[in-house]
Amino acid sequence: MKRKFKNYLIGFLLVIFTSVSPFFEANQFIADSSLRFNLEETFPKTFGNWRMIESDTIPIINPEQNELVHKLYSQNYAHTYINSAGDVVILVIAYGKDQTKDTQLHYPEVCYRAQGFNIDSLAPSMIVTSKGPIKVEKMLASNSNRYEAVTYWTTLGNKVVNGGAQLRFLKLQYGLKRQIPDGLLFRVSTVSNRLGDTQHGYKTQNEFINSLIDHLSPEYRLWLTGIES
Amino acid sequence: MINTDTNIKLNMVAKNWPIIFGLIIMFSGSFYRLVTEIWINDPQGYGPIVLLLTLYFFWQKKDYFFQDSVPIGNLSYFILATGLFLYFIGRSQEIIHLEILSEIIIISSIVLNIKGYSVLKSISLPLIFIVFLVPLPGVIIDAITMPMKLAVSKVAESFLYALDYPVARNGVVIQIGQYQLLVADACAGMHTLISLEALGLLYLNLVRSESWIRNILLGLLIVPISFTANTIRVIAITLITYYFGNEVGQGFVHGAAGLFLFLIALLLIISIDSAIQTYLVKKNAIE
Repeated sequence: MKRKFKNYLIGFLLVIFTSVSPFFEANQFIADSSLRFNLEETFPKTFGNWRMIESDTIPIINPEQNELVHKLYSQNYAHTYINSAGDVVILVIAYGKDQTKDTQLHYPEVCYRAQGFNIDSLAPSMIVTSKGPIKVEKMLASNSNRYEAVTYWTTLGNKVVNGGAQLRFLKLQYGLKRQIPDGLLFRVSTVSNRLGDTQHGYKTQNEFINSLIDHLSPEYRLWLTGIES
Repeated sequence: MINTDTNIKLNMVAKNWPIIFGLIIMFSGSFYRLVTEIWINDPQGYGPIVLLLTLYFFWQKKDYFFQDSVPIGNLSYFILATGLFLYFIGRSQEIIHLEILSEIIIISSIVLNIKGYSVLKSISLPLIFIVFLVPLPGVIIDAITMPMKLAVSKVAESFLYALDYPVARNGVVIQIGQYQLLVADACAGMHTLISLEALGLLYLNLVRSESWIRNILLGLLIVPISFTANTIRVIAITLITYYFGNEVGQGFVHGAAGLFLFLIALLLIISIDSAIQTYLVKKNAIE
């Protein structure tokens, strides 16, 4: 190939790629084309034998350190619920409209650690509900004052995916379709100052999640759990 | 022999103007994105410094471009294609790390195409330095820095405890007197490890040692040096808070601490390098 032609070819390729690539940027928010809800207004305050406690006497560990919460999450729903047996769970749903940039959600094991907790265990598990299974992570965090047993899952778009290569792959898939996925962290936890209460805590959380699933509308359920009905 | 005749230089630029033009177009876009999306959010402001250093390094080595050389044909086109493909993904998916990485590959392929392998090798340091224009991807940050922050907290607390300070620790939270300090801020990201690595490479380049041992040792020791510098920083912040209160302590954290860390690291690098040099000299003297 003649040198001059080579130069023009390379220069041409550089300009073409620079100018055309931006047109393939993702610009459709999944949040705009799917059914999403205002949690504070519409999330059930009572269901089954559970009801929300209006005044929160148990300190809730925020998903992030406080400055970050408002930056990262479009909605941050954090309330405590109690059942007829007196079991208390903390529910946090942290939802972000854009999971592709640095506003993506952070994982509990990272943020609990950052706030001084030790992560005693973290393992994938499954919650089986009447409408279908949900892949979850079960975590146990502790510090000098308390043990917190946590069951959580995270969604991207309308699918439950808990991190790892699967998450990155799914993000890429949405990106190549020029869609910007939203996502949320759904976190249920029980607090105690005794390690022995942990198993009962997970059972309580399981019961809470099951009861909730039964009382959500199909669209709400799809958004929060990825379960299609 | 290096021909530094100005006419020859201008001639070369003129011949290759389409490529230079294309590169300027491509890099201006990336530069704009770097400034408006990444550097604006970086409180410690290393980005522009790294860019200036990179340009300086390239400028330093400009004479290599006018050497005689053996251009590589087909392979360079393959590498260029790879770079362009990665650029397309990085740019369209707005992954700035991939965009910058792809540009390094593209530059490499063009240098190979026009000038060949030996010239590419001679500019390899500034090329690699480009990587430091962007902060580490979050994945890597979480994996590396969390254990390190935990270890830094442990050592800092033990040190202060040994000096009889009223200090305790839970995870990455240090309690001293009535104050509580959060050592790790994993959710906000950490740049210092990367910046220190960049500092190490910079030092290596400036000092330009012939000894392989010295270079490799220094490269490896960056990590423990960074660890030590960070530990000293944590101890300093803790003591400042203890003696002067929370406000002064936090002021230090967001102000001088970064510079302080850099200086400590620099001091350590220079000291360790002198030690290595002395050892090598002794070794050679004995042999």
